[in-house]
Amino acid sequence: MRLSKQFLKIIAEHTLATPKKLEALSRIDPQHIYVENIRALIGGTSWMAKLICDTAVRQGIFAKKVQVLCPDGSVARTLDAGQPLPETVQCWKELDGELEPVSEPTDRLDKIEFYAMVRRAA
Amino acid sequence: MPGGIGFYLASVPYAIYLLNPMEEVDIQVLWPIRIEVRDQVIIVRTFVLERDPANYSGRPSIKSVREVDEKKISQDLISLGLYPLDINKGVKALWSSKYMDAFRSSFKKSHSTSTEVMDGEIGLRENAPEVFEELTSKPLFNTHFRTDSSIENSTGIFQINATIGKIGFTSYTEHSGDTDAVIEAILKDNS
Repeated sequence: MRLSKQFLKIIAEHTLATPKKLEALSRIDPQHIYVENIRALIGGTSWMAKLICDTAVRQGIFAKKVQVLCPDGSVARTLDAGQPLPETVQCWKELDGELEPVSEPTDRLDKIEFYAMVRRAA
Repeated sequence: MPGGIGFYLASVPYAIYLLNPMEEVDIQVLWPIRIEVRDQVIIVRTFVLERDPANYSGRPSIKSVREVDEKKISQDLISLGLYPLDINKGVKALWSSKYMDAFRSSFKKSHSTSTEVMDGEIGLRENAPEVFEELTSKPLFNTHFRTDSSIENSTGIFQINATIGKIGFTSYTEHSGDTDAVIEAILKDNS
């Protein structure tokens, strides 16, 4: 079964396929799937959505990734989950009305997980 | 894990670099922390400490450094295996139900972080329904809310980062229990 079909099957099992939800599903970027995207689609809890995503990782359909967020919410760095985080990342901060690059310690920054559909050679 | 509520008074060291004359001063600030353990959730409540501790001395300062802050506490909890609670569901349910509206919201798109700032702090849900519709399926970052005028609650403006489970109240309420009411409403709709 092709991966995209497997993914759709998992989602469909937890979704009443209304036109609105199908449209929402078509808008999800398969390379940037956040837990909240799936939760909103299935209408359940974030715990349930995360379970679906982590199951997809175990089945080799998804790969889990982590983004390090700057204080303004922008993404400073994207890494594969489990990969060591850099000690610092570069963010931008407004100083005297000008944006200046600043080095921020990674352990004090928020992180967000997301999932990417695994691409395999045909 | 047993349930319960614990009150703690932490002593937080501050290093302040004062001017007129230049001087490094170390002070200890007492910091009340309340930790509530429930069946599946731990709620940590802290006060936001004085952003400019030089106010304690009345002299201008160039810099202040503290070793422990709200961020450090949350990072320590994560290192213990306690992960931030995603409250997107609860926050969006309350937002949709007209309990509250936001005038500033950041949310994560596939390739960018978008921030919508409403003119004159008018409500986003009421006045930008197309943006509201878009963000209902996106992870919410810092979003500034106020409760609807029909709701009896004096919390004023409060800031929620739903993706990391953080709620911040900018001022003291007039009535006791108002901030708790917001937190309970979010948690109720989040389950």
